[in-house]
Formats: sequence, structure tokens, C-alpha cells
Amino acid sequence: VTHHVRAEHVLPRSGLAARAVDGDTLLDGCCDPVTVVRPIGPEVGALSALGERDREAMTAQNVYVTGTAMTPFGRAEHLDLLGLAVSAGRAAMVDAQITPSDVDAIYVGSFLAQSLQRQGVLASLVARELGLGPVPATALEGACASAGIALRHGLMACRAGMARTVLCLGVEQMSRHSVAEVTAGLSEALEATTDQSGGLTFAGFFGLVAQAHTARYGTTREQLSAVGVKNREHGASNQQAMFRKPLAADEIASSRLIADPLRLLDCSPIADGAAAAVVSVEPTDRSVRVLAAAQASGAVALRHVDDLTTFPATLAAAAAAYAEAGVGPDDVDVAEVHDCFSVAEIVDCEDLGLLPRGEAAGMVEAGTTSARTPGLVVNPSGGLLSRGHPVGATGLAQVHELVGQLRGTAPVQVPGAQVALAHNLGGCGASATVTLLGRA
Amino acid sequence: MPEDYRVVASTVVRVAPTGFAAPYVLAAVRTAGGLALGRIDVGPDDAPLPGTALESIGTQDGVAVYRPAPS
Repeated sequence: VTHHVRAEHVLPRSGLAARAVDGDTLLDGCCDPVTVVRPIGPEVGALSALGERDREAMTAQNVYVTGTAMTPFGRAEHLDLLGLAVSAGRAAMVDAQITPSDVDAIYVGSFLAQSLQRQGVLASLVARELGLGPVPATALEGACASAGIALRHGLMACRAGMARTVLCLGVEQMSRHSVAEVTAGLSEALEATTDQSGGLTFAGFFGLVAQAHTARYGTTREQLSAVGVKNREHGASNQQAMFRKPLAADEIASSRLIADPLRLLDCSPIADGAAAAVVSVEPTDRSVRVLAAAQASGAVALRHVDDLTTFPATLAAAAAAYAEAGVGPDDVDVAEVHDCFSVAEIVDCEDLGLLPRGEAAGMVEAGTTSARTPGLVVNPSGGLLSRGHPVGATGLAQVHELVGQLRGTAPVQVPGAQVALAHNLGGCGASATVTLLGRA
Repeated sequence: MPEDYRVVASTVVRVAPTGFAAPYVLAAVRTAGGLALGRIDVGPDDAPLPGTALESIGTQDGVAVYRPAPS
């Protein structure tokens, strides 16, 4: 039997992506019409089973980020959900020096569009408004990791040979709704039958994480505050950040309690905004290379959690990304990590291997990840705590910052940055993406 | 012998979703079946520390309710 197929499939056990394309003659005599072409998971050793031709095909397909943009994050007085998305999408195409007719597909991440704006089919709406024509338009939802997931799907489409240029976009409009409406919408990323009904909130969940981290590693109030102080200092130079006023540690420590021990200024703010990236198989003189794009899933309910001081989805995505890129955490010069709460940045840095387990809080307090000191810089954009967190847009705002870092044009520039990491976390660790970028 | 319940971490939720009256105390509770969400029947100034032994006193809204076990 000879199969002529066009399909993409992720093998559930090995984590390897499989691709078969039109005209290929594959798998004679096999009942599974899929062959392994390209790895996206950690088990790269499985590639030894591939033929030389497949390996060449796999490694030949480099993908690049050729353009990025974001709207200012904060309260968007004059732009609604669609207006934000269109603004970021158009600006990203301008940055990539392409026209709408160059775009083969669009992926749009948003978490709250359906619950707050009652807007489904958002991707098709955005595609139409941008004048992309009848391209495939796909909306993706992964809570706060929606944009990271949208980016990864755009990259996969390019790597699979199903598109040459893809627009990836994330958007959220939150400020026109009451805090109660937004809280209810965000709670949809918590498990419904016990955690939502039991009164758990995201601040409550990360309050538990903070206390567990304190119990195990002795994390202090001052160390939690140090995250916010650093990120506000970085964000002060970012024209698109929501909060640009530096904060003192005692301001954070004396802000009102939200979910002990987390206080108001430990929490990323509700915001409006959109961010976008153009990815392509064709490099330009301003593009950066995608070294890896990994995604993993993890616990949705508290009862699925084994250890509150780590997120297995981050661990799995990071392992896959490092293996795919052939680099390790020590090679990372600059990282944008998901600091939805101050304690999250500490856990993220440990899960990503950027800082030693149990030592991240002290190292942040000592300034190790600040732009003031040489070496690794974490969240030079100001992170979610300073830039703001329009949840469905955050993952691509991280990429916007990192592309600027690799181009050498970022507001808080890390000198000579060569390797950059973006980490986007959804829910209570329900999903995570890790994207590694390098100079082209 | 009663099941052993212990606090892994607790928090006082002070900003609550619609339908909940803040403040209230939640905990991640280590049970025989693994980690579970629990409501702790104490005031906000008495949230139990990690390691505190608990006793179950029922359920509310589908979530187990505990109080600190007598020492």
C-alpha cells in the first residue's frame, strides 16, 4: 500500500512531530499513513531511525520571525477587541515589510473574547479586517498562554511546509468590563467542579505557591518585592508598558493584601492590548531565527498538582525546547518569563533552569537578573508586572521584546544578546510554551 | 483510624469572585489521595501554617471543609 497524504501529526509517546506531504511516497506496507520528518520533542535520539533524506528535509526548514509589533498595554480608550488586533497585525506586517497578500495563514490567541465580548470566530474576523483574503484563520485558547500557543502553531505551519509566511497574533480587551466580570472570565481557566466552586482564584492559587515556596526554601517578603522592584525599573524605559513608575520595596510590601502573602503590587494588572509576529521560512536582514518552539500541558485542578513549587508543563516545554535548539539554560542571554505574580517569576526561573532550584529568590534580590548587572537579564520589558497582562496577548508581547533584543534595538538592551527565551504559562500550569530565538 | 490531613500551604482570599464572601481561608491539603483544595473553618488571622494537622468537618459547595485538629 502506498499512501499519498498531506497531514501533520504529533506522535503521542515520542513527542515527535510527523509530516507527510503531497507527492511523497511514504511507508509502503505500513498501516499508519504518517512518517516522522521533524522533531519537536525531547527524544531526538529517535531520529536515528530516519532516513538521510528525511533528516535533511527536517533540518533544512529554518523559520524566522521577520516582524513584530504590539499596541501600548493598559487601558485602550479608543480601540475595541478587533481594533486592537488589527492595529498590532498591521504594524507587524509593516515591520516585516510584507503586504496582506503575502500572508498564507493567521493564528489568533485570545482567552476572554468569548466570555467578555461574546465574540467567536475571532480569527476569521481579524483576517477579513486585515484584508488577508480567504486564508486559513484559526483561533486558539490556552488561557494566559494563548499567544504563545498561537505563535507555535504558526511556526509549525511553516515548518510543515503548509505555509511560507504566517501572521501570529494575540489580543485581549479587559478594561471595559467590571472586575467581577473579568474575575469570572479568568476563573474559567480553573477547574470548574471543585476549584471554581470552592472559591479558588488565580491570586489564591499563587498565594498557595508563594507559601509553599516559603516553607521549602525560606523565600521572604523582601525577595518577593525584589521581583516587582526590578521589573518596574526595567519597565520604566518601555514606552508601551502600562506602569512606568519605579516602585520601592516597601510600597509593594505595604500594598493591600489580595491573597496572603500576595499583595496588590505582587499581581500583574488587568489590561487591554494586542501583539503580533510575522513568521516565515524566508529570512530578511532584520529577522531572527527560531531555535525552538515547544509546548506542554500540566495540571488544571489543584488535585492534579503534586508539588506547588514547580510547574511540570514548564519543565517539559523547557526540556523539549533546549533539546530542539541544542542549547542549554546557560546559553540564554535574556528571558521574558511569565511573572503573572511576583512568586511566579521565581518559580519560572527555577523551572527553566535559568537559576538554581531554591536559590532564585535570593538571586533576584541580589540583582543577578537585573539589567544593572552583567549576565542573564530576566524581563527587561518590565514583564507582566510592569508591562501589563492582557492575557491573550502576553506571549507575543514577550516575543516582540526579544526580537528587539536580538536586533539590538530594545529600550533596556542586553549587550550582545545572542540567545533569547520566551516563557508563557496558562492557567495554574495547564499549559506552557517555551520559545528560543537566536540571531539569524 | 481517621485519615491524616495536613496543610501544604494556605492563603486568605481577600478579593473573591461573585458569590463568595471574602475573606476566607483556603488550603492545599495533603490527603491519602494526594493534594486537594480545602476550605479551613477559621478566621483570616488564624490561617494554618504548612504542616498543621487538620480534621474534616464536612463539605461545602463540593469542597471539603477542615479545621485544625486538636493537639
